[in-house]
Amino acid sequence: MTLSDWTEQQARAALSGAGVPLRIGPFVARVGTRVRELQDALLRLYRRYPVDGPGGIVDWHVRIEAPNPWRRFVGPQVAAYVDGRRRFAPFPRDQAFAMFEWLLNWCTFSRPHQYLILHSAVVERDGRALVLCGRPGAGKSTLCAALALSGWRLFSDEVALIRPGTREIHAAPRPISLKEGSIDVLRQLAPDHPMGPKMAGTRKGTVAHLEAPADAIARAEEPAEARWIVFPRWKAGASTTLTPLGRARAFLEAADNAFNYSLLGEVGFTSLAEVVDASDAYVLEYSDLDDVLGRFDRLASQEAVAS
Amino acid sequence: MVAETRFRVPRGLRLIWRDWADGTIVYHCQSGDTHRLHEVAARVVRAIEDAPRSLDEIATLVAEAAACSLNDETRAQTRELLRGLHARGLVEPTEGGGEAAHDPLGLD
Amino acid sequence: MRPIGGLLVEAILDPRSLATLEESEWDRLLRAGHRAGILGRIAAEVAAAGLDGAVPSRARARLAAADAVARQHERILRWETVCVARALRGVVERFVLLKGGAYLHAGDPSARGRLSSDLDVLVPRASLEAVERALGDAGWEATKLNRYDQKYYRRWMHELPPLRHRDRRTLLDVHHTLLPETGRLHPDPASLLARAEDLPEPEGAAVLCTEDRVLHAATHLFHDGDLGGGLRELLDVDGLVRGRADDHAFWDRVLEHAAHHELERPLFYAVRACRRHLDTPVPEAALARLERGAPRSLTRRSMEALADRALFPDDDRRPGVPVRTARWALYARSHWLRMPLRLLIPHLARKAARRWSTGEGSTA
Repeated sequence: MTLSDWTEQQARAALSGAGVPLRIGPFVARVGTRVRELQDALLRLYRRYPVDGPGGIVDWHVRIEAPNPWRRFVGPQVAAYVDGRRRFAPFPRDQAFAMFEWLLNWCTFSRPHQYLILHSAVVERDGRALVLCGRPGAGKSTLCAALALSGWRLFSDEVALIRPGTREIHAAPRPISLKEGSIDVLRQLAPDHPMGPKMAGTRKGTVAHLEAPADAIARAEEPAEARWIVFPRWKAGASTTLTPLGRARAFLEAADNAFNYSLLGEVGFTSLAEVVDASDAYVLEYSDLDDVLGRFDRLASQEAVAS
Repeated sequence: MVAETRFRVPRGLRLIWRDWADGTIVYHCQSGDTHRLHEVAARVVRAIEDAPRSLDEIATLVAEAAACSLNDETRAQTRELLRGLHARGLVEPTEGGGEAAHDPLGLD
Repeated sequence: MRPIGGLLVEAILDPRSLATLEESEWDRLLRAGHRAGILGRIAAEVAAAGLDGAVPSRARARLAAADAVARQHERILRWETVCVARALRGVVERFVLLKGGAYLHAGDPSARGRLSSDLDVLVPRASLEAVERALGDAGWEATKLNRYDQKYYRRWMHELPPLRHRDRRTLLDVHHTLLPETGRLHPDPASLLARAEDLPEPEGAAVLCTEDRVLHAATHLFHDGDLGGGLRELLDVDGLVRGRADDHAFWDRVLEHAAHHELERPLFYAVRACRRHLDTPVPEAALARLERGAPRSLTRRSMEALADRALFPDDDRRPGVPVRTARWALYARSHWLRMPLRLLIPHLARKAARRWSTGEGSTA
C-alpha cells in the first residue's frame, strides 16, 4: 500500500496526528506535520512510497511544526523534532520541505551504522552500481538527476549504503535536491517530471526537489553490486574525460567522503577495500551533460558486452 | 648506542594491509588510524613486522628498495622514516631506546 | 502497554525475554534504549544469549548499528589508555582508570556494549601539575578556556578542566579525588590510590579495587550532576555487585570503605535504587547496616521519588515535565552538595545564561 492509496483527507489527518510511517529503502520514517504547505509537498513527492503497517518498528520519528503560533504572520518559522526531541535551529516556514529533506538526510547520515555510509550519489544499471563521489558543489546531484531520468535507477542522491563484508550497495531513494541553475537544466531535460516547491533563500540558495522516479521507489529493496566509483568535476567548457584513478587513491578519497569510516574501524576498512576492489575508479571532468550521459551509456554497455 | 638499537612493531600490534598498484594502505587496528605507505615504508614495516631489525639492517633495506647506495644520506632518510613510523605507532625501539623525550628512538 | 522502564531492565537482565517481544514493543524498546544510552548493552546481551535469529530484521539492524558504535568506543578507550600511559611514563608511578575505562580493563559486565569513550583517570594531587604538563606535551589541550570555567574547575572541583586531544579530539578528565573539596563528603584519595590494582598493561595503568569501584559508581550516580545517565549508571552499580550476593566478606569491605570515605549515603541510595528497579541481590546483613546510615524519612522519600522519576526516560515524546523537573531538581541538588549556596547561585545563573544564548533546544 502506498500513500496515494489513501484519500487526501485520510493522509492529511494521519500527518497531523500520529504521523505516517513511510518505507524508504531499508528505513521506516514516521512523518508528521500540521504545516499545510509541507503536507502538500509530501502528498505530492511521497505519494508512491509504501506505507508501513501499524505496530511496526519505526527507525525515525520526524515531525515539523510551527512552534510559535503567534509568529505565524511575522517571520513564521518551523521547528524540527526527531524522536520526540527538538533539534536544530528553526527554518522559515516557507522552507519547510527543505527542512524536512534535510532532516531525513541527517538521519541517514548519522545513524544507520549497520552500513558503511558514503556521501555519494548512487545510480544502478543491470544490477551494477555507479557511485558518484564528491564534495557538495561538485555537481553530483545534477549528474545523478540526469542519470536517474535517462535509464539509470536512482538509489540515492546523497548516500551510498554499503553492506559490510559484501560488495552490495542498498538503495534509499528520495526526492533529488537541485540547486539554482541545476533546476533549470533538469526542467529542460525532463519538463514533465514532477518537482516539489521551489524555495529561495535557503542556506544553499534556491532549491527544489525532483520526485524520485516510480521505478526507483518500486524497486527500492533491490540492492546492486558496486562497479564504478566516479569523482565528478564540472568545469566550464571542459570536454568529457573519464580518467582512470588508482585504487589506493580512490580508497582514500572515498574514505574521506564517508560519514562513518572511522567509526566502523576495521569493518570500515575491509568493507571499503572490498568495494574498491570490485570497482573501476575514475575522475570525470565535464561540462556537457548530454555528452556525459552518452559516455556513461558506453561504460555500461562495455560492461554488458564483457559479461 | 645507536648501532645496538633494534626496532620492532609494538607488542600486540595488528595491521591489515591492502596493496594496490598505486600504493599500499594499512589499517592500524588499535589506534583505528589508516595510513598510506609508499613502497619503501611498506617494505620496512613488513620487515619489522616479521622480526625486530637493527638500524643498519633497515638502512640496507631502504637502499635496496630505493635502488641507491647505502651512505650517510640513506641512513639519515632511514632515521627520518623511523621517526615518522614511530609517531604513527607503527614501530618502537626494543629494550632501551632513547632517554630524551625528544628522541624516543635514540636515533640522535 | 508495559512501562518502558520495565522493558529496558528486562531486556538487559533477562535477554531471553526478547525472543517473544512484539514488533511494537521492539519499536519502543529501541527508541528508549537509544535515549537511555543502553542500546549497545542490549545488543551485547542479545548476541551473548545467541538470540540474533529471534530478533526481527529491522531490530537486528538497529542493534547492529548500536554495536558498531560500542565497538568504536571500546577501541577508543583502549587506545587512549595506551596514549595516556605513554605520556605519563616517568611522571607518575601509576594512574587509576575510573568509570568506563575501569570497567573495560577490569572486565566488568558494565563494559559490555558501553557507549562512552571519554577517559577518566585519578592521579595524586601532588603530581597534578606535572601530569598536566606531560599531557600538554603529548597533545592534550584544555577545553574550557573561559577564565571563569577554568577557575571553577581548579578551585572548587576535583578534576582539571576537561582536556581534549588536539589530533584525536578525544576527551580526558583528570581527577585528584572523587568529589569536590568544597562538598560535604570527603573521600580519601590516598586510600583509593593505595588500594588500586595494577593492570598487566599498559604500564602504569591501574583500576580502583572492586569495592571502591562500587562506591564511585554509587557516588557518581547520586552525587554528581547529569542524571541523564541514570539507568545506565544504575546498571553499572548492579554489574559490580550482582555476582557477589553471597560474598559477605566483599560486602563487609564495601561498607567499611564506604564508612572510611564518608560515602555511606550515596551507597545507601544506590543500593536501594538497584534493589527497587533491578532486583539486585544484596545480603540482608549488608542492607541492615546500610539502613543505619539512612537519612531522615522525609528526605529519603522525596529523594527516592525524584530519583525514580529521573532514572527512566519517557517514551516517545520529549521528557514530560515531571521527568525534566526531577532531573533538574537532582542536578541542582548535586551542585548544592558540591558548592556552598553562596557560590552556587551565581554559578548556575551563569550556566543557564550561556545555555540560552547558544539557542540549543531545552535539555534539563
